[in-house]
Amino acid sequence: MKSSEAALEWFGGMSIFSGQVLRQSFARPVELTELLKQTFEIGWRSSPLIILSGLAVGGVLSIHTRATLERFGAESMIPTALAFAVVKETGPLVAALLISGRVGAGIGAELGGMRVTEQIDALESLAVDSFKYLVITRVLACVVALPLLTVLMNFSGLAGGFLAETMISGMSFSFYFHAAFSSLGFSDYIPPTLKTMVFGFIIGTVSCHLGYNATGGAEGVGRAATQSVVLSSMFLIIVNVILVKFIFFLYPGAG
Amino acid sequence: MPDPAVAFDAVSKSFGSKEVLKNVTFSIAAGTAFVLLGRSGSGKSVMLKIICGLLKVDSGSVAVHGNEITKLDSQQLAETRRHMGFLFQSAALFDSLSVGENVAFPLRRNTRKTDAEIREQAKDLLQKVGLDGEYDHAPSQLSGGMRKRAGLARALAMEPSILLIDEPSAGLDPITSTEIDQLLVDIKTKHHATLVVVTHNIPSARRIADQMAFLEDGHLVAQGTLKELEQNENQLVRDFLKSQQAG
Amino acid sequence: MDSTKKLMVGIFVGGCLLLFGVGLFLIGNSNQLFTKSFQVYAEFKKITGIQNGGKVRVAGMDAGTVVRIEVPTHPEGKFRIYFKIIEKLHPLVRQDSEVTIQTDGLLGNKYLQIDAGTSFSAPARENAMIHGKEPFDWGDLMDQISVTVKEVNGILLHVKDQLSATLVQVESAVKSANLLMIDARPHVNSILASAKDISADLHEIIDGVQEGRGTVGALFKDEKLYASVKRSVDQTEVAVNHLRDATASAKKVVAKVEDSEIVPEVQRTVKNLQQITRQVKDAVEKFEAAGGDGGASENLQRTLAGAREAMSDLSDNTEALKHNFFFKGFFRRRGFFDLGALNVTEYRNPRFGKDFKQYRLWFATEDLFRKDAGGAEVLSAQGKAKLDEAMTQVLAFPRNGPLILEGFASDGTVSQQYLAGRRRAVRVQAYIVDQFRLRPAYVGVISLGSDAAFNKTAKDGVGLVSFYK
Ligand SMILES: Nc1ncnc2c1ncn2[C@@H]1O[C@H](COP(=O)(O)OP(=O)(O)OP(=O)(O)O)[C@@H](O)[C@H]1O
Ligand SMILES: [Mg+2]
Repeated sequence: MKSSEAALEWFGGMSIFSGQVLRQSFARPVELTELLKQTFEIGWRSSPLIILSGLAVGGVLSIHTRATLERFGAESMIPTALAFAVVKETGPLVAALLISGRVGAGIGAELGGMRVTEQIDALESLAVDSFKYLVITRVLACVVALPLLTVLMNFSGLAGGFLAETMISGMSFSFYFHAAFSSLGFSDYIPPTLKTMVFGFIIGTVSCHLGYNATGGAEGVGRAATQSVVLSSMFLIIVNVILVKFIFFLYPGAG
Repeated sequence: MPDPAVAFDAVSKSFGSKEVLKNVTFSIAAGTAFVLLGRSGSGKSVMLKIICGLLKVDSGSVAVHGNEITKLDSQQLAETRRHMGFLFQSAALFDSLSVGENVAFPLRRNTRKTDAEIREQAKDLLQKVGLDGEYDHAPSQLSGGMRKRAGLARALAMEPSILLIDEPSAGLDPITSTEIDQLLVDIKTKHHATLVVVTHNIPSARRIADQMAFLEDGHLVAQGTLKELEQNENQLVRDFLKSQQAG
Repeated sequence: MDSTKKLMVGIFVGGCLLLFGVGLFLIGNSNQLFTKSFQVYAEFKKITGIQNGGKVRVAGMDAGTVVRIEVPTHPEGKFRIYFKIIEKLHPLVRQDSEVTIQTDGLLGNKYLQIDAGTSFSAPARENAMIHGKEPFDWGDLMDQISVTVKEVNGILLHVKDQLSATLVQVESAVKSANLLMIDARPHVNSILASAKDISADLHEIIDGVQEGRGTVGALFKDEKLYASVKRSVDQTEVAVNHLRDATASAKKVVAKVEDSEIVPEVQRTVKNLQQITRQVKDAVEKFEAAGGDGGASENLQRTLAGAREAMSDLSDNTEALKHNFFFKGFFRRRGFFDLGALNVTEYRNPRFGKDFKQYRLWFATEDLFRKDAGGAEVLSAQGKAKLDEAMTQVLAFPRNGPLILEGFASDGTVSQQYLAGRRRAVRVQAYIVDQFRLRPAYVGVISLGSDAAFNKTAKDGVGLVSFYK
């Protein structure tokens, strides 16, 4: 009973926090330097992770797809099948989960640490709007970086698939990529990529909320970091279901 | 009669069931140094944060230069804070910035000076607190006392009219401590700044204070000059001043 | 925030946007967004899963996409599929081009295949209709085959009529009619008999395949079969067309289908039929020309013998057809090829009917038959009653296997035994087929003479063996 109440209370706090983020996101002035810095941290610094995971995931998916399609003598459909799998679901979701792990924990720990060592108070005392300076910039950076990282994930996934495929069957590069994209429509490509902006928003707000309002010293910081990952992954997986339904509703052909 | 720099009127503040300030009323005249004494956990740091508007009071009002801090909108609050400097008890240097950039931070945010000018000024400030050559180090590479001084340099950067200093001499040797106290007194006289200093160091308090107050159990139990406090009827206050003197 | 970091952010954002753009371009390109294209449409009764955005291929080349599908407003209406084709391929798309709905591989997406038209026809105009060929349908194929078979039957009838006419002429024209007729009759009879056989075989094939429609579906699960079945079906379609063309008395010269297995057979069949007709005509003409000359009888005999030979060729051909891949599955499933051709060795082979359970009944000769005035054995009333009673039991079993009547006789020489046994079995066969409306193809006769492996004591009579699953 107590814990469910606490959960509801937390959720209420989270909603208010999100509302604040939404409102303040468009308020001027924009902390541009800090936004760039966070984009660097969240976007650029995550690229190696995304590229490597993409290659691995694409390669593995390709091997599995091959095993299945081979049975039907449909090897030539491997690029198509992989493109569908990667671009429509695997790419966006895996990218978001990886980022929620890397960035969510980072934001939770960083802001939590700043909170308990009075650095946020210090910012405020220096006439800085700490919410805009710390929270808005991170959320925006997540919102911007995630679709971009998803694109990176998609392409490295396809590249991984291509490497795995060309090693087995010697399929040509141009055939592979043409075949991969030829069956995709815009509605298979654009909405799933853009939906990750919502994932970015979730990762950003959940971990900023937990970090920004952390209490309880070093232990509290650790808790903020872990919970950031757990809760943002959980939320984005749930929201993904809703988004997939929603996209399907908007573009019935994209199913 | 000008507005006092800081004026508390019947201020109460509690955290949960714990009452930290109970109906506290006092004021600090502009351009004077006010030293706040009290036992650990008595609420001194809380009082500084209330003055800066970092903590909201439960009841009563707090005025800074005549402006009630609780009634300011965020813009006005920011403007007020631009004229305040705050040295936190934990120094609260930004981990993500170098020592020098910590000091430069308020200048970058609030002035239109060039990068070179800002660097120069930050270096000057660091030199003033005895940290020349530490510009590019990370805060984590500094000792506790050094961090405290870097925090002071940052608090001084904007040449504030009100300086809120939480234990300036904590972790400092007597010589450095004396130098820092001298620096604070200089700033007070040069810029006509108001100092609100929390300290446990009685010699330091003697060097700085124009006025002193003793916080105990949520009340300011004694207030006045050093002489007056030494004559205070409260045994605790007298003991407090003596014990430290001996040590 | 130094400038190298800014540069990296720039590289990151710019690079990823560029990749995104590449994706957009590749998709747009494959959807022919960036190439000039023209739009046409085709109508279909069934669209078998074609979707908006589905591929369009012209002579096998990726050429466009389905833009829109209009649903018919009433049950007799057709779906109208609008699609775009890149301008580059416009010269191939003519007013006489044909659109079919195809499947990519075994399980792949559906796409529209447009066959290049002929140069005689003008290029298809923007928004014009291109003829849509309905998807291949087993039912349609069966219909086509039965139409063809009807035509073949027509020819056979024609031949028969001509023969009868000839014989009538022969009878009236020839003085020594008796002698001649006695000579000619067996030939004529055997021609007619084999013609009947052929038509029965064909019927049976058609029936069987129609019946086997369910299992034809099952065939598609076997991928290896898929390719060859598809080829066979195509060939059959072609063959059927050829057959029809050929029967429409050689109006057209039919293009040769090089690697077809069935076509030559069917073509030969039809040619043979035509040849027979011609030969019979010739015979009659020659006969008339001879005008009762002594050589006429010999001439007619030679001619009829030739015709019979041709007829047995035809029969061979249908036999070959039965063993053709396409129908093999059917016969194999049924468990036997042709009960009429069943011989004792085959029957004795344990492989025969190994997939079936058996139910046996024994009828002694004296219980079934009585002697008629001529001394031949015919079914007695009591025998018929016995058979009726037995059959009601047999019919309680599922009718999914053959019914074999084993004839036994122990008097006389081995060949006499054989013939007597066969006669008995045939009598019973004729009776039960007629009485219980059984399908003749499923009721077989085998004469085992006195070789009663089943019942050592009773050597005269008929055994009824019902095979069922
Ligand atoms: N954010 C807070 N939440 C809850 N309680 C707090 C908070 N800040 C301070 N307190 C409580 O208020 C009381 C006063 O704390 P404060 O930090 O002002 O003490 P202090 O006088 O500065 O002591 P010290 O000399 O040790 O620094 C303490 O008991 C502390 O537990
Ligand atoms: Mg304190």
